[in-house]
Formats: sequence, C-alpha cells, structure tokens
Amino acid sequence: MSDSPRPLEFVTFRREGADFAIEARWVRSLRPAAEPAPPAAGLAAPAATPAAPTATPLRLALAIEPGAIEVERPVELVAIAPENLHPLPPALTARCAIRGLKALSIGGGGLLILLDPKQL
Amino acid sequence: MGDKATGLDLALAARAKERTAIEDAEERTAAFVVFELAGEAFAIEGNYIKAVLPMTEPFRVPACPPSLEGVVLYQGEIESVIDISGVIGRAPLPKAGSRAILLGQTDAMRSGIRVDRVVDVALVPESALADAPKTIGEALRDKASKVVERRGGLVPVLDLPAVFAAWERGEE
Repeated sequence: MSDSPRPLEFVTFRREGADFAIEARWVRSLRPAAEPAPPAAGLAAPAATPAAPTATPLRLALAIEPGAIEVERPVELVAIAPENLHPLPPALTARCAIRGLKALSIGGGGLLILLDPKQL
Repeated sequence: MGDKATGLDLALAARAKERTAIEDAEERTAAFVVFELAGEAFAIEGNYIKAVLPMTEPFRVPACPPSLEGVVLYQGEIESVIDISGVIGRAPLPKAGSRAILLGQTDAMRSGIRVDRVVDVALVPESALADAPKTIGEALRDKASKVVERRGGLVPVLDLPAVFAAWERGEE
C-alpha cells in the first residue's frame, strides 16, 4: 500500500479566456445557464480581460455559496497529482484580483487557475 | 614529554599569525549581479538573486496589473515574473528582446524579474561601492542608495527589498 497522496479531482472550465478549476467535491451539477449569473459570482475584477463571446454559457451549481457560477466550455473532470498543485507566488497574492484565487497548476494544457469556492 | 614548544609548534604558530595578517589585509568583497534593464545597467546584490533563468514566455494570469507578466515553472515550482521598470521610473519593457529572468528573493517576497540581459556576475571590493549621487533621480532615490563602479561607469545598486515593497504597493 502506498502512502503517497492521491490525486485530487477538479472540474475545469474556461472563463474570460483563461482556464479555471474548482475541486470536484464542491460541484453539484452543470446546466445551461438560463439567465446570467449574479455579479457576485464573477471571477475577475472589472479590469480583467473582457470576456470572449460564448455561444452557450453554462452554470456550474456549487454545494456552497455563491451557489452557482457561469462558465464556458469545455468543462471537464480532471485528476491532478498533489505535486502539480502549487501555492500562489507572493506577487499574485499581493496584486492579482481574481476572486477566490487559491493555487495554480501547470500541465500539458497550460496554466490552470485553482479557485476556492468559499472565497468566490 | 614536557610543555616546551617545539620548533614545529613555533613554526605553525608563526604561519597562523601570517595567515591572520593576510586575511586582515584583504579587502571585503560582495557579489553583485549586473544586468541591463530598459537599456541601462543596474546591479543587485548577489545574496538576493537565487538563479538566472533563460527567458521563457510566462503564462499570463488574468486580472493582474501589466507589470505582473505571469508565471513560469522553474525546478518544479511556479514563480511569478514581474517587470520592475515602472518602479524605478523607467518605461515598461517592450514585450520582445528580453533574454533573462532574475529570480529574486527577499524576506518578504520572491519573484522572477524580467531583464534585457545579464551583463556580469562579479565580486566587487567594498572600495568600488560609493553612495549614490544626488543626481540619481527621484524614482531611484530610495531604491538605490549605492552605486558600484563597473567598467569605468557607475551602476546603481538596486535595493531589492525596497523595489519589491514598492512594486507590491503598486508604485509604478
């Protein structure tokens, strides 16, 4: 039996041209967005890159407040090994305005921004 | 055998004394990384520079100021990359043309710093350090209290803790 920590499962999605992820245990469902998500569920400050137009916005229902966030395709379930989960560099902690920004991961698909749903 | 010093003891004691005298006479030196930023030469004390990385395009992170250019993966860790030119009163660096990232670390912060190129890593005697002239400029006054003589010119020595602190406060 191995003592090495197991990979954690995340739901990944796109938003405003970047790739984000939330730990899968906080995600309840994924549905087409009937109406825009409330402003509180936005991820980035107004100064962020303008959102790219998206054909079919989706709503990710969370098991925690803010309840749901609007996301863009593709939405996937991925497993990330603990060694690929990185704490935030101090410069990002100091000056990045992404709400809920918790950690980062870099893999074959590029940079993945890991969010803490409790801080959204 | 008695307590009397032998000829060997005396010889070794004399050698130790000589060595101490030589060390006392040697001038103290400090290591500096000399680099170009926006076409000008600057130096940072070597203690603050953990590595010099070849320039790689950082992964951009949204909702960050333009001077926070992104992150890179270095030796299995994610490091931020910043442009400090605004903090020292220079125009933002052009996107192309940089050849190195200095990985700087102070007690309060650690980040990559994009620079044009590294010119030199040198041991500099204390006598080659001088107080920065009054003409150094407003933006550099509290971030470069010393200059170092290199190749016939005076190079401002950036106080990295002060530069990082100013960057964190958004003074750019």
